[in-house]
Amino acid sequence: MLAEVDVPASQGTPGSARAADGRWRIARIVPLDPFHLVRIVLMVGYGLSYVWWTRNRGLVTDRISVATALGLFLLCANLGRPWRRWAQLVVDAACYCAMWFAYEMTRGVADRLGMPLQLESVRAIDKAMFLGTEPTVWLQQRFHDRGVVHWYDRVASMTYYTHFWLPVVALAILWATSQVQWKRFMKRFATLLAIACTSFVLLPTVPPWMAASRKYPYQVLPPLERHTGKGFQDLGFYGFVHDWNNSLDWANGVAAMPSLHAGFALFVPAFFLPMVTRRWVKALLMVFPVAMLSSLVYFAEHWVIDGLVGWAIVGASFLFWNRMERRQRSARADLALAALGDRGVAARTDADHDRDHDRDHDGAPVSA
Amino acid sequence: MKRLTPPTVLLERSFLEALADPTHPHSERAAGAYRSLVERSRRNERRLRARADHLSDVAPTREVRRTLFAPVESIPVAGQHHRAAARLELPIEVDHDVALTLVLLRGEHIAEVATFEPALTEFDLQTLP
Repeated sequence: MLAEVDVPASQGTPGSARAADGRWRIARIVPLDPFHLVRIVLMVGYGLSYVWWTRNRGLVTDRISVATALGLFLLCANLGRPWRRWAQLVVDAACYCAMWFAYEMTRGVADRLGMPLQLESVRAIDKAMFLGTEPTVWLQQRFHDRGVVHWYDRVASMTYYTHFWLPVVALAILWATSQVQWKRFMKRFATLLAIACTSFVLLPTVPPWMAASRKYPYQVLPPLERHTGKGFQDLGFYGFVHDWNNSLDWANGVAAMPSLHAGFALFVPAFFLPMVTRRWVKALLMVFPVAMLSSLVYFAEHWVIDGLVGWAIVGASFLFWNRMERRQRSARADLALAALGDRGVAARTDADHDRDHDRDHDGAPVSA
Repeated sequence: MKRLTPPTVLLERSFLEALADPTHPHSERAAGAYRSLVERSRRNERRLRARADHLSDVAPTREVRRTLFAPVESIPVAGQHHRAAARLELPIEVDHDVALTLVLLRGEHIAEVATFEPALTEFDLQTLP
């Protein structure tokens, strides 16, 4: 275990095994596990393959293909990890799959339960918010040209399609890098999905494109085009849906309230927002959900109120779990301090007291 | 960029022992430092972790684990960590337990340790108390 370590003459230089104070640098003398580099190479290779697949075979959008892609990534990210980690991964993956399965099943049965369809209510709310104007109709009349793909059609379409990869990529990165943050993400995400599913069952809502379509009996809006994929296809992309998706009866055309496209578009930036220190970057991140909701309304996919409710559920989910996590930390701290009793009170330095006092007044937690 | 997860402090065996045993010579110092750490973990400024084997040795009953060490998360120690520790070539003589701690510190990217183990002060770690 004792070894000759090459110590350059000048301590504290980047290549030296010793720091400036003469102590040994762990990063220089304790190697990472041998699979560390293999995992990084595999993950980078996987990322490049994903981009290649998206460009040449299409963006993976059906749930089973997405779960398969995610599973492959996790295999790369966990190669050479201890068995306990793999067992944890299996449990996590089972929870993840169960969550989506429950979500899809609920979506599938929601339109067969016979709850009254919402159309006039959401339309009236949108009109009230925009002083009598129908936002989708107004946007399409001013900006949409049939047969022409403008730059903003491309931007809106690309924004729309981020729904199929952004949350999954965020989840995969967290899964590979931090179990703690993965759990935080999943708690909030599952809450959002659970509330959304409940709403799909209780408030089946006709989306604007259906309300305008001549194929459906509503026809309460002037003709609208659901041109969601045109900008995406104009850029040379298309969606990849495996055949197995066609055999599953998971479609629900009236699952408009709330908009999960809008919800996810707020969820991901909001989760990572505490990492960002610069205000202008924070503001820029928050442009994304606004762009998503504008795109959804422009494409006649959703009413404005669907998106706002999606955002509200995201906000409620974050508030709820932030509060729960604070309470949990506080309860555990109280238990530990109670078990300590009077011990160590005198041993705490004045500096400790000052620091705690200052933090109580000025400090902010690392994340909410 | 700020980190989403607060920095971790590893509570090493010698520190856990001093905490769990009120008659330990370092008990008061350990308890004082632990108070401060617990308050920081309450504010989500520090994450308190300890090796799973150290925790089960020092706090064999669930009662102690659920009360005194309630804010402490365990780090599982796997066979591959033991093998890595056995293979470790260090410039100073340390026992296997310290080598194993070093392997875990490196793997978990931990730079702060609460310990009374003198060998760990030879490394570029921030040590408490």
